[in-house]
Amino acid sequence: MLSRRRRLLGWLFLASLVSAVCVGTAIASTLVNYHGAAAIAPGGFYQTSGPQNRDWNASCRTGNSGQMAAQYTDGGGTVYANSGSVWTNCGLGATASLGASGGSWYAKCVNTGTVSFTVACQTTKP
Amino acid sequence: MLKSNQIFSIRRMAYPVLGLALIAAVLLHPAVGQAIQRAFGDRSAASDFAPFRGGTELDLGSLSASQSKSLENVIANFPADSADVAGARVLQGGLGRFNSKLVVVPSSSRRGLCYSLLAAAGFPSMTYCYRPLEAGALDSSLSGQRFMVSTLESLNDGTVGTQVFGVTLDDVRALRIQVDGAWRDLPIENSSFYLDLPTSDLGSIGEVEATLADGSKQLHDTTTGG
Repeated sequence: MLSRRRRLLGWLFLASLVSAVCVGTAIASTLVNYHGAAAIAPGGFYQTSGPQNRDWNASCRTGNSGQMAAQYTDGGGTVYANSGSVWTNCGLGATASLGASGGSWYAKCVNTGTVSFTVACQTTKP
Repeated sequence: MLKSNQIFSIRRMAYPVLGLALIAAVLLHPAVGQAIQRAFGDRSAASDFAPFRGGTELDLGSLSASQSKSLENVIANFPADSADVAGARVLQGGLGRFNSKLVVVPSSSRRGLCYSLLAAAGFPSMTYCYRPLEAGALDSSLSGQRFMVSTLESLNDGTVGTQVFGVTLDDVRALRIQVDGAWRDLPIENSSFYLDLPTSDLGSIGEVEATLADGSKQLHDTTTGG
């Protein structure tokens, strides 16, 4: 028969395992990519398929350096937050990101540079 | 003629010598030297980076729930390991209309840094991450720049305003910014700066000029980001 101490340790192990899985799942499900494979032209953008309560929106150019902006919008002409034009390079860890704590907005990433390029845009909900 | 026990003795000495010579050859190879520099040199340099010496240690308990959530995303996504997080600093607090904190967090195992403007209620908040200490990790337009500036425009209660913030190195003595064509001072505190412009949109902001200790000037164009 197991001692109380061993059973307690067993429960603690099980609890930590469940916590680790939950945390891992939470982190794994944190990011949603909303960019495509195609390059976007200067002034072009990608945006999420719809508005959601936002807490994160990050963007950077892939493969090279380029100016980009991260924004929250109503899907039309109203911009609620705008990082402005920022030098980015995903490979070198140069990224602009917006935070928030809710706000039913679209997440949008914009090419503010002078040439076409591919991008990485990530948020937490589609 | 050498006796067998002498040969054994020479062999016993030869193996460590050969081993040391091999280790020395590997360490002295230029590629290995560069790898060591990348692994350790940048880290020691990061601890010397001015924003990591300014302000106060970040007490996670002092952040609002919204600020914690924003910082969580920064730490998870850029990424920051436990040693990075331990090096996080609050450079300024109680800032502007949104009672924001300006926080700096080492990232990518101290090879880079993220600086975040975190509003008490979560919005508007912004983070910029980059590697100012790594050779070749900055665009030519920014290479050698002794500060980094971000502009966060937001719509609040029907009014568009902008917050200007960023970090500086030790040798930046003064900063100023063009707003509607006129220069305004950007006070430096704890190797960082902040200015709230409640009724200015991004279009009204131009260049930021830094004066360095040697009297030279550097310009950053906020309209292009470089």
